[in-house]
Amino acid sequence: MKKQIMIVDDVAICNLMVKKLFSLISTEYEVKDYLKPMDAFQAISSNNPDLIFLDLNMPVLDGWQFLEKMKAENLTNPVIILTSSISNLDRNKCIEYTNVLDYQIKPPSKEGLEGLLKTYLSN
Amino acid sequence: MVTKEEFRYRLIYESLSRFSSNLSRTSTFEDLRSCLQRDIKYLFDYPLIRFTFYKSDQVISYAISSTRCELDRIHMEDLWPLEKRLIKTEVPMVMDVLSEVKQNLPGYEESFKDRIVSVWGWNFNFGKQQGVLVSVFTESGKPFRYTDLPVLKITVENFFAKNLNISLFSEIFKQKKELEEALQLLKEKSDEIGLLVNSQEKIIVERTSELLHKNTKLVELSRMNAHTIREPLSRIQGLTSMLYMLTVEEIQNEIVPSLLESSTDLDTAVHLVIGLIENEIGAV
Repeated sequence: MKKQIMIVDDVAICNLMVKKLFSLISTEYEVKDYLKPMDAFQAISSNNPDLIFLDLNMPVLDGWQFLEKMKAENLTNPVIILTSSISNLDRNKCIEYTNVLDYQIKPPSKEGLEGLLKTYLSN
Repeated sequence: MVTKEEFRYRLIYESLSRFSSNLSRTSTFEDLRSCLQRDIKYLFDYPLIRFTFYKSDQVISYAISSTRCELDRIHMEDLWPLEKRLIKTEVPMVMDVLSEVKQNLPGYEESFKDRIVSVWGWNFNFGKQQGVLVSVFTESGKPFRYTDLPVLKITVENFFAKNLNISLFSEIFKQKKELEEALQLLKEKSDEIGLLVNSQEKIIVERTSELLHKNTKLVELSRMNAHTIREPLSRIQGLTSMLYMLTVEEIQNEIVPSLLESSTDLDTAVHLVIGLIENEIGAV
């Protein structure tokens, strides 16, 4: 069974880039991307993704609110923050969420993503 | 039948009684002076009697004649010669050498001095460097009467007690006044300190509020830089890094339009951040 990966970013071209990189790395992952964070949140229960790539700066529901909702619903799916923010305030805030595994700054590289997948989805 | 002597004693008793009564009602040195001027002449028949109250460095003299009583606040060195000797020896004495007697009447008219033939002096020492010096001046034909001594002693005791009372009361009053002034000063200083504290607190609150505002703005600007500018920039970086992985067709159809859109977003973001910084600088 293919590993389920969820990408949550309100900028379409970002999702397209990450998806393209995943396709170049391997075909053994099933990747779904969401432009609307609320849609992504509702899909967590049904899809139960193995890894979520989450942007922080999004309208309506930003990355932190997304994580708060997960916490409130006891959803413990692992999350990797993928953001353009280089602020330490954002990086340090991740400690508050136990299901956040990593903090990655955009743009992602093919090698970087490969490393993350090996680290967090190897079993 | 009342004898002359009995009548005299009755008169003295009544005069002494009236003096004591009037003395008890005095509360200032000036009251005491008036009392002496009014009542002493009924007790003693001499041209001049001087009572000098002393207590440490405080010396007050009352020179009582038949028509007036002069009050003087003086120093020990201003005592009359006879009084100085009394202070020194504490032995009662009499002077009848006219030249010496006259030395004890500074400021008095010559015609008055010429009437005086002798002066009798006592130092009633009540201990602790306090007491009363008495100088009784006699004139020709009216010598000092020894029978006046008991009355003089009672008079001096009453006089000393009242002087001491007024003196202590004055000291207490003076100290009370000084305390009140000190208290007032303390209150004024306390009010000043209160105003200063209030002023400082106000300044601290204002400065804290100002710093909080600046801090909030700095965090906001930091966040703007981190997200708003870096977001389109990271897209441009990502798209260019993918160029070698894609076909020419994919580049023309997907990457180039996205690059154009991202570069426009970046320009907009830079303008937005600069505008915010300039607004803040203008506010400062």
